[in-house]
Amino acid sequence: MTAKQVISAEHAAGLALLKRLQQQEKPRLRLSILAGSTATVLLILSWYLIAQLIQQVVLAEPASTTLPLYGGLIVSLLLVRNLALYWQEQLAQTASNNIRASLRQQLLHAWQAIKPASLQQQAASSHAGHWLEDTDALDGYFSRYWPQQQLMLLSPLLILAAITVSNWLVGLLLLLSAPLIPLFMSLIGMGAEQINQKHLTQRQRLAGHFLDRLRKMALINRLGAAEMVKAEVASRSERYRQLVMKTLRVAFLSSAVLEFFASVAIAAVAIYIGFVLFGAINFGPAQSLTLASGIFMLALAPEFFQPLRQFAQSYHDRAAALAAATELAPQLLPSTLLPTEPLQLQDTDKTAKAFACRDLSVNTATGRQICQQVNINLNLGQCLLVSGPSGAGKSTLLKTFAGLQAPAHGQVCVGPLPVTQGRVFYLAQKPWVFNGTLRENLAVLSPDVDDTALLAALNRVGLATLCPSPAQLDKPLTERAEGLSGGQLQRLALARVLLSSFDIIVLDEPTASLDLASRKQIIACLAQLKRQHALIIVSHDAELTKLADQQLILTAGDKHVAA
Amino acid sequence: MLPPDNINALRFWLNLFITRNRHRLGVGAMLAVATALSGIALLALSGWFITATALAGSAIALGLVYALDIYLPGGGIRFFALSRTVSRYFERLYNHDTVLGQLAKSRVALFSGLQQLSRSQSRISSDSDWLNRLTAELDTLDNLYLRLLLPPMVTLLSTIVFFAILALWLPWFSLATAAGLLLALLLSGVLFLRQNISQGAELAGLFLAARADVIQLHEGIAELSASKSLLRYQHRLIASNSSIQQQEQQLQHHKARMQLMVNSLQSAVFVLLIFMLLNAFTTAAVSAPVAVLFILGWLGVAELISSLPAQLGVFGKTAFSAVRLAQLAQMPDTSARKAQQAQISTVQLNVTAHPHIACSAQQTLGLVLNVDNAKLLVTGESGCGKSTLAACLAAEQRHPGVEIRLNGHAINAADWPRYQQQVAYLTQANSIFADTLRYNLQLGQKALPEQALWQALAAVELEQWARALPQDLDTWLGDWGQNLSGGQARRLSLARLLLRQADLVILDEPFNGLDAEMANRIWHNIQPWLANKLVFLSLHEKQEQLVNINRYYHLPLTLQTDTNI
Repeated sequence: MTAKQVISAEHAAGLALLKRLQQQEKPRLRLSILAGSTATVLLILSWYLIAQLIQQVVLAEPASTTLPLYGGLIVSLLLVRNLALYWQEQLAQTASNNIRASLRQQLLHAWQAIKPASLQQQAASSHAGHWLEDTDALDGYFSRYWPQQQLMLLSPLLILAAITVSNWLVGLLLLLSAPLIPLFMSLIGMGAEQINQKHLTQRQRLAGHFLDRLRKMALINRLGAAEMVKAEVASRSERYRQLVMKTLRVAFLSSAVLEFFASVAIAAVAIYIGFVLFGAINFGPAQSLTLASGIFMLALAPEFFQPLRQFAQSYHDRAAALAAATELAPQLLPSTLLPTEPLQLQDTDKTAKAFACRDLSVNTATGRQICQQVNINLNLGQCLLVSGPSGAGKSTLLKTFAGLQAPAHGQVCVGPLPVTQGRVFYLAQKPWVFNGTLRENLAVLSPDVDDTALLAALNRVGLATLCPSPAQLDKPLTERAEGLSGGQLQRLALARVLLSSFDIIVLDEPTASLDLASRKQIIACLAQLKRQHALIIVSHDAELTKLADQQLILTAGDKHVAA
Repeated sequence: MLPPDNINALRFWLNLFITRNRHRLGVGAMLAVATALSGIALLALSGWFITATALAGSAIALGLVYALDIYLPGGGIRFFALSRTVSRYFERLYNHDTVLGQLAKSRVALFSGLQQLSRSQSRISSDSDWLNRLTAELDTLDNLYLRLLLPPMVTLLSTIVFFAILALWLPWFSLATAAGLLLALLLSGVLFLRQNISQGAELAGLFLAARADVIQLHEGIAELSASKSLLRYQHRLIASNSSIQQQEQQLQHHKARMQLMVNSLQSAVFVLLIFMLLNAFTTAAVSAPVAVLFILGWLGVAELISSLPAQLGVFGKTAFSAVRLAQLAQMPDTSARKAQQAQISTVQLNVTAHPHIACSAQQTLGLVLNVDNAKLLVTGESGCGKSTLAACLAAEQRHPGVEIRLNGHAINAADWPRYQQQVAYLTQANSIFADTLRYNLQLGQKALPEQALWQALAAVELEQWARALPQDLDTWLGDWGQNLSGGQARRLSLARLLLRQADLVILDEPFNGLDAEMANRIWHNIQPWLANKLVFLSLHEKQEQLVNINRYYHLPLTLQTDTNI
């Protein structure tokens, strides 16, 4: 597949997503278009009346209707038209809001269903980008582009019909000018693209310059080049401006073409009507032309081109939405897999408390086999130690035990439940700490516990000094956890176990990169936890071997279980 | 009227953009007004023309003698059709040129602000997602001119011109209508902007909070998923989602209401105009063609007025970005002036209780570099804190437990930038600028002789590679250019240092991604440059072949061996 094909294949996914989302709100979007078309019809009607009124007054014709009635009708038509426009906007916006809210909901569902091991392949901030900015970028597509695209066809057709009924020659004039506009616009677009291509590399380099230098700010400071690069930002931005203007000079011709045809069509209509009314032209449908129909057609002529102009403006909404949808499409579950009902929390069965693997085979992401046909039974109060050389796949196996990754074959059970439903406490090598208070960090897995329980848990993991009083629980803890040692962080995370009902605790290298004292404290903690929990530990630490009741030693492809 | 933060920020950006560029703003606005007036004149004159011809036609049909020059107005119509097209084209071109010029200015302002900030916050370089968003926000400052400044100005001027001409026939009506209309627009506009700004800020606040929540969720996804707490944890995001939806709905609701209000206002003026003009015709205050001229001319003005809510609707978002960016762009200048420094003969570093250096938890980790112990090697497994230690020595770690003593005197953080000028520091990350090879080698220095560049490349065994490049030293590297392998990037980063003057050299894993033999050859090649300098070298394991090491530390245990190895 060539690069171009790859891009179009990706875009296909984006387009499919946009289409699927649009289906969700189809009734509302259709109503919005209906409101927009109604506004056009009302505009036509109100101009009909205004033109009649003017003719009646100006030519002092006998009144067919009274002035107040005209006034009342015109005012109410314009009022209803404004309301129709209001509803057009409101409906399209509401549709767009609903679509985006549902998309965010779908992302949340996907995060539930997709195994954490694959979600972790992207940075947390890029997930945030998907949930917020990318989803938001779809707004213009649904609130402006899509309705506008439909109205671009409907409104001019309605106006054309009205004008043709009054005078088919003027209708024909407008009809002929309409297809010329997109033709010329695309010709100019091609010309602009050619100029763009000619300078593409240079333009990309200049466009990327600012962000590239911002990202390397630390190095620039280190090299003492800050002032130099600052001057460079100015000069490169200036060159970028010159280069972009070259393309814009041609690209803006396309809007000038639109403007030109619209202006010339209005001028031609006006001059034709004027000459007919003056009596200088007598052929065609000249006989039926009156001042009223002349004003009517003249006033509607600009409206004929108006949707096209608005559409041209909203075209970049489509480009932005397509780019975002292309990003989002792979993040979502296929529509067939969408959950029919929200996922339910399930508590583990309190009677059967054990961990078991049956015929478990696990592969690495690249497909290499880590272990095959492993059977493990672990009771409460027991500890399984997994060891092996680095690269043997210990962490991957541990993730499978914790249900973060699907095994190639076999089953992992927590009590009577498969691990996908049972609760496991998982402690990564680098404990999870986030911006928030000490209380929020401790109680993250068990939001309902009280302060006494929190302090007791801290006490049990030997962190009582960290928080001597309940007031200290509100101390903020930053994600970099300044002021806490690695060992303290590990114990902080372990305190979470004590606050919630876990039977199985899975730990990845809990004592690696710790100093001797912290190591001893962690091991003491684990020994204490072992009394009421089943532990599964990946470690090289010889001290931890003393805790182990079972051992799983991974080699490059082989396995060995010792009781 | 508006929150002071917003006023200040908007004033800052407008000052930056306009003060030295008043004429550009003036010319751009005049072109825009010319476009608008051409459009209005086109319709108005056409209306006048067909009414005049209709009157003439019916008079002639009745056999009356009636003189009407139909060619002059016809020419006028064609002229306005053309002038609308031409002025529209130049208006767009000119104003986009202005905006691109503004972009250059705002980039320089933001760059210097971030540069100041980077002295105290390492995040500047590490959080590329944040930088992406900042640059995207910078682009929204376009709105300031193209949507918030220009359209209201053009609308105001065109409205005034319209009513000024109308005043020639109906002075009192024209004055009263114009005053009423502008006052109503002003009042509703101010109300709308105030609402828009507070709602925009609230929405932006919701986004910030939700962003933090999503990031937190994904950082803890393993823990949350294993403990089956993910769903409960997601409830916060479900709540955020619905408040974002509500807030946006409200924001758009206000915008739609403003649109309805503006549309109704211009419709009301329209109906008023029709009846006043027709009434004036019956009292012979205006002629019929002139009455139709103003009725059709109003369409052009009404279109300008109707477009205002959509343009002004971006105010809240733009103001929020403007405030955020203005805060960054206005960082006070704290950079130290370059001053001649005494040569560094002794450096002492003490690190206490640094969270990333486990072995500093229990005791202070101290190391000294001086003439007798000029070359120091630190080894240890990954994660033991050697890179952090190197960063501490390079004065790039703001932590209360870090103390640097130069020639026996402790220096405070304010003096760090000056000290850094005497340090050549190679971090573990390879940073290759998207630019030429020459630029990458000599950034931050006056033009160096070509010979020196080639020597540095030869020392890191990149000379042959560079000679084979399509435009040797002027070949573009990085994005949209030549790709480098990890090893090549590593050696290029080292070559960059070799061209610099420094008293202290800090090399953090300089040979990452290179084989041991090449590492030894390069270490040998750079000895002349290292001579008479203090050197801190970190490696993940000791390499016996490396010569000229005076002192050796192995982390996490602070064992010292005072022997040459």
